[in-house]
Amino acid sequence: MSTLGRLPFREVDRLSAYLDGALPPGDRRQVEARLAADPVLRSALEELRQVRAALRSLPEPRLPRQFTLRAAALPRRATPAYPYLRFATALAVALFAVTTGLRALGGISLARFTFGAAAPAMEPVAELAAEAPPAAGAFAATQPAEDAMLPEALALVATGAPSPTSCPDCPTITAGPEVQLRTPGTPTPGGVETTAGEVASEKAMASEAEATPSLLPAAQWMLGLAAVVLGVLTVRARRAR
Amino acid sequence: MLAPRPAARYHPRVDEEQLIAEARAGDVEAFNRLVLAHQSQAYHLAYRITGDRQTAADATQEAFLSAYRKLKGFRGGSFRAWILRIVTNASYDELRRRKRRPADSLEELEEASSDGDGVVRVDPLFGRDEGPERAAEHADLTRAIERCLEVLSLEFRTVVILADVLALDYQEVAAAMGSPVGTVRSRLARARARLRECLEGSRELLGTIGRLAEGNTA
Repeated sequence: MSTLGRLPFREVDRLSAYLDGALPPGDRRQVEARLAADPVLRSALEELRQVRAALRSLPEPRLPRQFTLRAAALPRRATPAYPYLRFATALAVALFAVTTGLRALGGISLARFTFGAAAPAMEPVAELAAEAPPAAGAFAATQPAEDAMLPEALALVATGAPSPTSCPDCPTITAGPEVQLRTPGTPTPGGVETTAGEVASEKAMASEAEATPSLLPAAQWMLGLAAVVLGVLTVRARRAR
Repeated sequence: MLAPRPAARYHPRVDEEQLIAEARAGDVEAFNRLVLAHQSQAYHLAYRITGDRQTAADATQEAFLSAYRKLKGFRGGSFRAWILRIVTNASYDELRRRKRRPADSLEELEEASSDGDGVVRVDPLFGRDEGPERAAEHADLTRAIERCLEVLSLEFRTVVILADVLALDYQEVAAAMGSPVGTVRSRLARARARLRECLEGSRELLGTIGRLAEGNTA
């Protein structure tokens, strides 16, 4: 067994660092003092020195070839604009997907999606309907069969009606006795008797329903086109050296 | 008579930073000048870690390719240590890959142990003019060291190659291994002690080399 094998590792560690000149000055002086007094430590240090010398004497292998790189074999490097173009492309594709999805929802679903925040408006309308005199709201209040359809009808009216808080500039629906609940297939009471508030609300709903779908296809096509153009630019930027 | 490789702090060439900047900008020729400056040590490290020339060559080539790709990630400091770290990792990867294909590596090991293994048998201690008997002894010692390196764990083998075979200082070894300096110091001490234990049978030759080394450095 070597002398090194008989020493505690702490001693070997210090001797090894001492050999490499890696000890702080205080520790180095301490080791030197101990080396002067202890032949076992001197023997261990000599063994470490021999091992290091033997390792340094290992022959250097001959290079089998040059390891330089050939430009043609290297992957092309992206231009600095590449990450920005990649982000812009991803954004355009995502927005295109959103607009396509919105269009796919279509009509009432689209309106519900757009004005979903106006849902609480349903309750005041329902309350008004309940408080309305029989002369004005007779159909909803007196027919049980139509009562069953009431929630659906309310939902349609409510989702189509802009919230006073969310759309202050929108035409206001008059909240008076003339407000009526209309269920599908139910004729307007009095035939042609249509109030000014009713007309205003219908116009507002119609204009909203028309305006949104007409903007959406244009936005969709523009985003699609942008996604394609940006995609091409991104691919070119990635391949550029 | 030639002296053993001295342990010395790495002094990069003055134009190394310039070459790195040019290589980062995509100048392959500038990068190739860096390759030429470091390929000997890179291949030597890979060869000592893997133990055969084909694996080492593959690892070295892969490492330089990887270094070119990752050049923007180089944050300064010792470029040599940065390259050697990539070489170390590439060598580990190659070893793992060869382990999965043992038939190939056996063939290559046999080929490497023959005379045509590409290892320069010039002894830096004994010199070119050593007699045939001394040359044979030293060849025996070289083989013994190589066998002992093989049985060391990868961490111990790598630290001893970097510090003693390639003569890097502790800071560079730490950078090349991605370990703290304290860890490097203790691993190196353990690796040296284990190697000494393994080389107990070659004690006389070790003594001869030790004396010659002292004579050269005196």
